[in-house]
Amino acid sequence: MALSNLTKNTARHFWVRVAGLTGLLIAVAGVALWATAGLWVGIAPVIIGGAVALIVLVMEMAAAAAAGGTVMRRGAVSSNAAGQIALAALLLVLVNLFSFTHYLRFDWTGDGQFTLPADLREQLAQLRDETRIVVFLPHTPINPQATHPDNYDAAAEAQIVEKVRDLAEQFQELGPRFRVDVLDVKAKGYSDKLAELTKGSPQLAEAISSAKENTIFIQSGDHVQRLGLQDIYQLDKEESKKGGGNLVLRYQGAHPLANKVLNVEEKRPRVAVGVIHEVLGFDNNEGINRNLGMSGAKKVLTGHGFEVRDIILKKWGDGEPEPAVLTRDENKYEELEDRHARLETSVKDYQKDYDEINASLKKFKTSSLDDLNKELCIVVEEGVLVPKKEVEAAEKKIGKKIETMPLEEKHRELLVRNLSVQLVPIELALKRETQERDATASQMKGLNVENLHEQRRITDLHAKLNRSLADADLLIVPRLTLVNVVRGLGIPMQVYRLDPAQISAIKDFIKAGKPVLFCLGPTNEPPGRFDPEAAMGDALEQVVNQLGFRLSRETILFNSEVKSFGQRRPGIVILDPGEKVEIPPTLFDWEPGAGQPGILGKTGDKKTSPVATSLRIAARSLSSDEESQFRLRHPRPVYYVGSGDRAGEGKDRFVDSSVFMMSAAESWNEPQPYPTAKRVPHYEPPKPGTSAADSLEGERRGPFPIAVAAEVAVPKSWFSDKELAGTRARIGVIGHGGAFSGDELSPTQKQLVLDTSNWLLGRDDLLAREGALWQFPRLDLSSLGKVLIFLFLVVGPPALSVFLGAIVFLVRRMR
Amino acid sequence: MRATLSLVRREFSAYFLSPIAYVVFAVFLAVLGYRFNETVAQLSERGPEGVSFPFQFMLTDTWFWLVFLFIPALLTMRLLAEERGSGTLEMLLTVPLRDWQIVASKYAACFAFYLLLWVPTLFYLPVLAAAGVDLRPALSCYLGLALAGGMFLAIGLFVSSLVRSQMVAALLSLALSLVFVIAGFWRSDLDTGTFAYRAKAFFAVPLHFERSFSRGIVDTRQIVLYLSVTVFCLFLTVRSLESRRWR
Repeated sequence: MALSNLTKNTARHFWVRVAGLTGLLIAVAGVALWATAGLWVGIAPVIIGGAVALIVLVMEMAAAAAAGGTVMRRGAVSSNAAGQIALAALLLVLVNLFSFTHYLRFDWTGDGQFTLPADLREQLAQLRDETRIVVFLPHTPINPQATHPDNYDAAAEAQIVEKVRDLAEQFQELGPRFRVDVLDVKAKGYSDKLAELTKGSPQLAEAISSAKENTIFIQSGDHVQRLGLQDIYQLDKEESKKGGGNLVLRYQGAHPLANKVLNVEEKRPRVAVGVIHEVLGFDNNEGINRNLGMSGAKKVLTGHGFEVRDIILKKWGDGEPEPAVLTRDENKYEELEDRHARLETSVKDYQKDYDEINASLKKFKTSSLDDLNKELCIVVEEGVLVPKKEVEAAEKKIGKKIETMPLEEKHRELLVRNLSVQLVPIELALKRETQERDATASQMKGLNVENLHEQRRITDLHAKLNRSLADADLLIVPRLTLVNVVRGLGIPMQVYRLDPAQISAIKDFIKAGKPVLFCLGPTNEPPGRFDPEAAMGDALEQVVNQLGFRLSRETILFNSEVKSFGQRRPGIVILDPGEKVEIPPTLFDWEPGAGQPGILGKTGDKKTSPVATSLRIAARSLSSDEESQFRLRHPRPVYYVGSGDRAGEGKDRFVDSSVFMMSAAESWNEPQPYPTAKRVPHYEPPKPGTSAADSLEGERRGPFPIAVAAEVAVPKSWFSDKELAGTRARIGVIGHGGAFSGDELSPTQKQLVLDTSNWLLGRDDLLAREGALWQFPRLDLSSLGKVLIFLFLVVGPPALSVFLGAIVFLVRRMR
Repeated sequence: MRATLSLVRREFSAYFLSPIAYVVFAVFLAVLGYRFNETVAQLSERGPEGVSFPFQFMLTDTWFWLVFLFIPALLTMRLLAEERGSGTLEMLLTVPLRDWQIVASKYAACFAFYLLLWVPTLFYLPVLAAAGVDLRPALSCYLGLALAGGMFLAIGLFVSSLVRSQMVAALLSLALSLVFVIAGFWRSDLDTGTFAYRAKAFFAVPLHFERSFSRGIVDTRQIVLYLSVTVFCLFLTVRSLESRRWR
C-alpha cells in the first residue's frame, strides 16, 4: 500500500515537474516571439501569460505537495525554509515593483548636463495633459539652410540627435505624462511606427508630412508645435575647423523645448505682407517675375509653422493704380471679374453677329427667288445687294432713278457661299470666348472671397485695412525700388505711395504693440525725374522716422560696381551695362562701432542685436561659400537713433545694438547713384571739418548698417487723449525691398527671414545664442605617449597576467 | 569574526593559486585594454569624430559584455560546487561558523577578487583626465560595475551551491546572468517612452551602463535591482547550504 502511494507520489511529482518545464519553455518561446517578431501586441502576451499561469499552478501544486509531505518526510524545518524563500521572493518582487515606479535619478556629471533647470522642472511639473515629444529624423543637415553638408554636418547630426534624445528623456523623467518617440526614416519599421504615432492625430500626421528637416514635434491633444534640432544645439563649423578640427556645438539650453511644451496650445503666428502688387507678394511663384515675389520666404516660414498671406494695397487697372485692401484671392477675383465682364460683352457681340448672319443665310437658302426679289435687288453700278425700300428711299432723296437688277440663282449661290464663309470665324470666336468666359467663371468660384462683398460695402480704406490686419501678428511692408542703376531697372517710388488711410491703419497696428518689418529700398530717382516726396520721404517713411529710425537718402554702392559704370572720357561716359558685378556679401559680424560716422565710431557699443548674434552663429554652421551667398545690390543705409516723440533729431550716432546686418566695407553712400553721360558715381569725401564729415548722411566709406531692429516706444503724439500711450512695439527696418525676395532663398537669407520674424514676434528663445560650447574631449598625444600607453595600459596588464599565471602553473607543476 | 576573516583570506588567496584566475585577468584586461586603446584613438582623433563619455564607449561593446558575463561564472563556479564535488563541503560545515558566515566569506572573497580585476583600469583615469574628460562619471561607472558584478557573483554563488560539477555551475550561472544581459541587445527599435522599453530597460544591465552609469547618472531603480537580487541570491545560497542539514 505504502509502496503504491510512493509510486503515485513519484509519478505525480514527475508530471508536475514536466508541466512546470513545459510552462517555462512556452514562456521562453513567448518572450522570444516578442523580442524578435515584435508581437507584443498580438500573440506573445497570451503565450507568456498562459505560461506564467501554468508555472504558478505548478508551483502551487508543488507547494501543496511539500506541505502535505512535511510532517511525514522533511519536517518543519523544510516547510519553514520554503516559506522563507517564498517570502523573500515576494519581497524581491515588491521591492523592485516599488522601485520601478518610485525612483530617483542623480546626475553626477560636473556640469549637470542631465538635469533640467529647477525653474523648468517646476513649471513642467504643473502640466497635467499628456504630452508626446516626437523626434523626427529625415537626416537632413543640422542647419536646414545648409546646401553643401560635409562630415561636420554628419557628425553634428549624430551628436545632436543623441543630445536631444537625452533632453527629451529628461522631460520623460518628470512623469508618465511625457512620452518620447524617435521617428527615424532610416530605421527598420519606420512606416509602421509612423502609422502608429499618427493614428488618431491628423494634426501630427500633417506636421510630419510637411517637415523637410530634422524636427522635434510636441503634441498634446489636437495641438502640435515644432522645433528644429538646431534650436537646441547649433553647429559652429567655423570654430570646429580651427586647430584639430574638433566638433564644436553651441548649446542653446532646454528652454526652447520647454517653452514649446509649456505653450503647446499657442496658435501659429500669422505673417501678413502688405504689397502694392501681387507680383511682390508671398504667392508669386510662377512666371518671369517670380524673383520679385516672396515665395521663397513663404516656403521657409510655412515650413517653420508660420501662416502667411498677402494684403494687396493697390488695384491695378488701365489708369493710375487705386488704393485698395485685398487679399490675394480677392485681388484675383476682381481681376477675373473684370475679365469676365469683358468676355461677357464680347460673347454677346459675337452672338449677335452670328445670329444676324445665320438668319440671312437661312433666308437665302430657303426663300424662293421671287420672294427675295420682292424685298431685295442688286444695284448695278455698285454690284451690292440692298433692300428695295432703301433703293426707293435713295431715289427719292437724289431725285434720280438708280439702275437695279433682280437677284438670280447664281447671285443667291454666291451669297450663300459668302455668308457661310463669314460665319465660320465668328462661330469659332464665339466658341472660344464662351469657353474662356466659363473658365473664368469657374476660376472665380474656386477663390475664397467670402469677405469680399462685405469688404466692398466698407468704403473706408482705414477700416478695411484694420480689419485685414486684425488677425495678423506681424506685418511686412516691402518696397523694392532700385534693381540695377546702370540699366535703369527698378520700380519708381511713387507707385509705392500709400493712401493716408492705409498709413493710419499701419500706425494703428503699431499702436496695438504689434511688430512691423519695413523693407524699404533707396528712394533715389533717375536723373531728370524729381519726386519731392521721394526726396523728403513719403508718409510711410515719416512713420518710420517717428519711431526713431533714420532712413538715409543715399544708395550704397560697392567699389566693385564702379567698373560697370563704364569709363569716363573727356566729355563722355561709356556705360557698360553688360559688365558682371560681383557684389560683396552682407556682413553679420563686425567690430564694435563699425559704420558710425567720424572718429567716434571707433569706440562703439559692444552689445549686439540678438538677431545679429543669431545670424552670426547660424552663419558659422554653414560652409564659407554658403555663408557668402547673401548679397544685396543697391541697399540704403538705415539707422536706429532712439525712440520717442523727438526721435533721432540732431543725432549723428546710431544705436550699435540695433544693427543686425551691415554692408561690406568696400562701399560708400552715394546720393546720386545713377550714372549719366556727365557723371559716374564715385566716392567724394566731404571736406574735413565740415558738419557733413561727422554726420550720418555725410558721404563716407562703408560698412553701413542696412538692417536694424529695436523695441521702440510708440510716440505719444500718435495717441489721442482717450487712448493709452506708453505702448512699445518691435520694429525692424531693412534698407532693401528685396531682402526676402526670390523663389529660392540662399541659406543665409532663409535664416534672416526666420530670425527677423522670430525676434519681431517676441520668440527670442528661438534665436541662436552664443550658448555653452560643447566639444569632444581631446588628447594631444606624442608618438612616444601613444607607445607608452599601448605598452603599459593596453598590452602590459594582460601580458603580466599571463606571465604570472605561467609562473603559478610552473610552481604547481614543481609540487 | 576571526574565523570568517580567515575563510575570506583562504578563499581569496585560493584564486591566486589557480591558473584560471590569471586567465580571467588576462582576457579581461586584454578586452578592456583593446577598448581603451580604441577610446584613446577616438580621443586623439583629428576631425569631427570623438567620444563624449569614454566609459560609455568602452563598455557599450558586445565583446565586453560577452567577457563580462563569463567572469562571474568563472569566479564562482568552484566556490561551493568544488567543495561539494570533492566532498569537503561537509568538513567546511563542521567548522564553528554559521552557514551565512560561510556564504558571506566566499562571496566577500570572490567580490574582492572581482574588484581587484578593475584596479588596473584606474590607471586609465590619468590619461582620460589629461584629455579633459569629466571623471565624475567614472565614479558612477565604478559604482555600477561593483554592484552589477556583485549581483552576477551572487547568482553564480547560488548556482554553485546547487550542483557538484563546476562546469555545470558555470553554464547555469551564465544562463541565468544572460537574462539580465541579453535584454539589452533585444528590440533596439523600442521607443523609450513605451512601457515595454521601460520594462526591458529595468532588467537590461548593458542598457544601464549605456544610458546611465557610464554617463554619470545614478538611478535608484538599478541600484535596488542589483542589491535586491544580490541579497536574494545570497539568502538562497544560505538556505541551499542549510538544506543539506535536513535532507
